[in-house]
Amino acid sequence: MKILFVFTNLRYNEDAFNYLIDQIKKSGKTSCYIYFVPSKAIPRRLASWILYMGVLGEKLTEDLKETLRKELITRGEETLNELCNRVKLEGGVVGECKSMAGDLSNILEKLYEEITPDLVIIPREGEALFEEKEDVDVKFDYVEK
Amino acid sequence: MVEMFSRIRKGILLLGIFLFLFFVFVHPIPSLSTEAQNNIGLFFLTASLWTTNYLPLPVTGLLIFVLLPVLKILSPTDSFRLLGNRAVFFILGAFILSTGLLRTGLARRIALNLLKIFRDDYLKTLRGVFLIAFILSLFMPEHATAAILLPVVLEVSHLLNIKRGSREGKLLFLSLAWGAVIGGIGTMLGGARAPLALGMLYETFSIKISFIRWSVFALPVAVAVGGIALLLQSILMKGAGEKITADKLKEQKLPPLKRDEKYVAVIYLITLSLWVFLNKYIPLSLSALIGAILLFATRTIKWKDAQDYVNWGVIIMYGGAIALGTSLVKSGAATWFASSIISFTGNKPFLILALLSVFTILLTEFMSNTAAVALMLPIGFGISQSFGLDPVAVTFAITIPGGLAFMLPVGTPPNAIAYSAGYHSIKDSAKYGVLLNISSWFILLLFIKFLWPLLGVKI
Repeated sequence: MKILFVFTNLRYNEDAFNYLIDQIKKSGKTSCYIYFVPSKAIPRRLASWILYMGVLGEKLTEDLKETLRKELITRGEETLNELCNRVKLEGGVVGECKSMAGDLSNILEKLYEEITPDLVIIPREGEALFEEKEDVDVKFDYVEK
Repeated sequence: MVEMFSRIRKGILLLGIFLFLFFVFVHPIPSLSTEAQNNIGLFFLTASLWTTNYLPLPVTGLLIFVLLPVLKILSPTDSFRLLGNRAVFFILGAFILSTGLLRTGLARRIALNLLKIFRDDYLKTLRGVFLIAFILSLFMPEHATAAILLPVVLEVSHLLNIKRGSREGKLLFLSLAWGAVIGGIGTMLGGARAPLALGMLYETFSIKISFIRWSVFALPVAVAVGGIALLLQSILMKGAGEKITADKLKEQKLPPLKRDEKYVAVIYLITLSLWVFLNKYIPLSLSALIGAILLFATRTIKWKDAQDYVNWGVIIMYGGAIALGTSLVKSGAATWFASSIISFTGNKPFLILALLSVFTILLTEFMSNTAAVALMLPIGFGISQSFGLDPVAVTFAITIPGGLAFMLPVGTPPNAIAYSAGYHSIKDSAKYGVLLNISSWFILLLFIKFLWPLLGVKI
């Protein structure tokens, strides 16, 4: 079985990853393709807290956003490595473990064609990699072949 | 929690609009003039807009300038004149000066150099972050301090491998927020609250307060509250962070001091000297503008830098706040608020000051701290006018706690900026922040009761 797991700085949660682990345990021999796609956006809630303050100048606001973007990307890359290691520990085979820059839907399309996975798991957009708790009810989408 | 905040915001906005319409169209208090009742309506509308941020803060400022003449509270000339208040120009000059510190990288250099001193163990690093934020906020706006320190503190967390959600991580970013917030109350430069309060005090009572006199009242409170924050830091860190060595911080190398940084340092010192030593001859606002012009004249910063680093919109908000406050006092609306409070407390100055300060702390947790001061001061001034309370005591008792927001990100930009790193939750900042709120209020009460009378304020 081949599983494609794609997450971004805005789309990541433990439930989605646990679902991936469940599938590995169920199917036995599973190849996992795990990708992190850095997003330029910062979490909406985070942006609303800062930007509604209305006191920072344009440059400071932009610098602050850039700092946060960099931070979220660093976190994403750290998370990517952690996930790949956990997949190995659970007995899965890591087909690829990579950070890919670009538009999420284009990347998904390209990966889908290249890998032809049996299952695609994409966490839903929330406040991922920012706070521990998620606000969304359904935390991930998956498409089975 | 976000949904709960959203519902509360909607409720506050609707209540504000209802009270505005009620006072403007129903005139429920026959003993008050129409202008005063319209003014009370405008007060509630503004308070709800500033709390909910339904409109950007400067737009609410503009709305005040529009509604004051429309509701016949002030003439258009009197209303617009208040935008030219000396406090507005002081804030403008101080913001441009801080642009120099930020644009040239001098503030960051100071922060990184100071941080090297605190590298022995993790608790010292936390104290270092707190003290650096505290010290910088004494000389530049607290929001700029937090914004410039965030990348530095993130760098520290990566270098020392601090985990998100860990006690070490939470306290690192809370120390940044606490230092900036507490340092920000120590002088007139930590934010727009103090200049705004001075502007309103001058417009209402023609009383001036010097830079030094302000610091003599405010700095001891900041130092005492800072002591409590450091103590809390030590208590919360007990048994944690022992394995973290901060030695890696020493490895940070900085480029040599640039010409622009030297110029900013010299011009800042000149301006500071004018504020401290020559304030009898040169008003604070003029000194601030002289410093700002010197930065341009020496080609240290360009106009584009000032445009980029300063949010010019908030200047309109500050002007609007002064206009609203002045009109509340002039129309007699402030006296109505004052009488309502006095009927509850009796004419007991200490109790009144205690209540004003605690209300301001509560307000400032939910709205811009400048807005909280702008809303509370006219009420305090109304009490001063009607019941003979020293307006200087009222100014300090409202403006100093006006900066003490520790619990929510929305309370003040340093809280929001520290929270944005994602190392602590709102629950964390609320839990520890409430302890700081309560202890800082008690400290303030001690100062009001025992120190301020020695400094010539009637309590």
